[in-house]
Amino acid sequence: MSRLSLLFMKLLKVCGVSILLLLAVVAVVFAAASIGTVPIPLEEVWTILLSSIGLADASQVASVSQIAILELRLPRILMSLLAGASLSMCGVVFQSIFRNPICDPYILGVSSGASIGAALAFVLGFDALIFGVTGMAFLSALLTLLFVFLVAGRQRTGTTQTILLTGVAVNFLISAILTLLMVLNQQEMQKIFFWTMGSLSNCQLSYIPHIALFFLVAVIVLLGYSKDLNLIQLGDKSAQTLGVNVRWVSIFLLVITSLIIAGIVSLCGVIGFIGLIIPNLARIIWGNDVRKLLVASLFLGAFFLLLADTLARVLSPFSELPVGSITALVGAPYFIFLLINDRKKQRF
Amino acid sequence: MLKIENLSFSYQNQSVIDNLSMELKIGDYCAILGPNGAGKSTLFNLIAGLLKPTSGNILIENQSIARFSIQELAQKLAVVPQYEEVVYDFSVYDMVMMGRMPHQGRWSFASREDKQLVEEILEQTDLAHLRNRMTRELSGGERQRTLVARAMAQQTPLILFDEPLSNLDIAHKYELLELIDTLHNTGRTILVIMHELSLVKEFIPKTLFLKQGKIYSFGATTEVMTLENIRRIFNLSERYNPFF
Repeated sequence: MSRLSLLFMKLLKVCGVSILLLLAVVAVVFAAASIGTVPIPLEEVWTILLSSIGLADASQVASVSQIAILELRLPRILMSLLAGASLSMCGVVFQSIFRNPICDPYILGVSSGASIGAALAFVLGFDALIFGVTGMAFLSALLTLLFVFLVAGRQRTGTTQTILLTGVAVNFLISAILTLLMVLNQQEMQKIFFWTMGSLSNCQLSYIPHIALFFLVAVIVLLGYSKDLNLIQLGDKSAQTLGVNVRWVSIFLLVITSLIIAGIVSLCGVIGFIGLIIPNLARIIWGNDVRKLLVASLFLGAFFLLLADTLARVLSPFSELPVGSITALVGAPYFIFLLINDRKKQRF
Repeated sequence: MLKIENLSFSYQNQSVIDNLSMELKIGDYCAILGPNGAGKSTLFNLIAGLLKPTSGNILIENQSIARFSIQELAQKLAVVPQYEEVVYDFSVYDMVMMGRMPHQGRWSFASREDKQLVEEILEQTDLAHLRNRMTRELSGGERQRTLVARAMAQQTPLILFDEPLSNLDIAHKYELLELIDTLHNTGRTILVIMHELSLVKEFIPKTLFLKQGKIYSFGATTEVMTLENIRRIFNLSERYNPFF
């Protein structure tokens, strides 16, 4: 095959996949807006959405449908898209810095770390403060990260076993503390439980600017450092001799991703496995270039979390399922698949 | 070009490099030889800026490397590692293009000049036909050539090679030495850690012998690469002939 036709094929593949991704996101947005206890036809969804930006007249559409879409479903859809995109991008960062495809903030216990801070802030009454819950979640996520480093040893890029065992230990510890918190504060048990198994059911329109801020931070900072991450994927020594201040960049990006995770956890609780599955899926389609991976993960993550949340809403006729359980149902088998793959690689 | 002044490095109170001074001029091609534990890798890492000296100074083009930022140092000095473990693989083209990163801004893309340079380097290193091949699929020799090509793309006046011939068969060893020779002919200063005495004698004009963190001898290979020196440095019995 000539060089030109190879380039054409590559372009077709990348453009084709991008358009497909975008279409998939749009399709799931419409489906999520349409499906629910009050089903709303797609034409009405379209009219209501257009009318919200002044491009159509929705006076013919029932007001109950308008309220359902604009006040209940749209905030939730936006929340899913932004949280899914941000969590996936954070996964790319963790996998690149730890040079391990089995890493993500959830597996390492950083998400659970953030959840304990959020729960504590709630129990101590800090939730009345602006960013009180997020601040505490950020602090505890950072402390968890520090703990992971201390336990896993100074070498960031340890073996899969060390990293996983550290994550398991951290998650055990945090789960025990959360249980203790629930037992000691039984009147707040439901609220604390919310942080253990993520849910988007409490989402309000007022949350959107808050999460959009974290999403913007993720996009700007992570894309800005994507070249450095590309080189860090080669190994610390190679990255440094190619001009990257590995230590500074790693610490800075881990702090930023912890902040993003804390922001998401404080609003939606712990939603696991997205940061693990999505970057790995994106690697299969786009390769390992972090610049492409971040963009692909943004779309794929947004798509996946919205799909999972829509399923969580409609799968059970009696009550809503926690979205974290849906992502775990897909993520856990994929995680096992990655582990088997890793074991095979080590054997050879 | 490269000047080392009274360089010392200690690890856990044990001296590894002991008050070492030397100088390489522009276009010098020098091998670092010595027994295991002589301090070759430590000296290499100190020059590459991967370790900080306990005392002393390393100057490139009359400026101390301590004053350079990591990115500035990467514009002066390229490193070809002995081996690079592949966790996430890239195409040969992408790997070579990474050599241009120290010259690019955070938000900039590869320029037309960058692309043209990478194309030329792929041709020079006989990698053009492998441009889309992933690093994991390359043979040892091809992988090593890719690492050299990446260092060439950095366009630095000084290139360090860390045991580039280990893991290569004899044909690939000669192939790589020819490639380094071409680099040397472009006026670059080259420093190579080596173990193969006969190949150093055949290809590399200057040699630095290290023993216990100190320079044992340094000069033209023809002068310092003597049987007597080798036997003393490596504590080699007279029964062995290290050149054959």
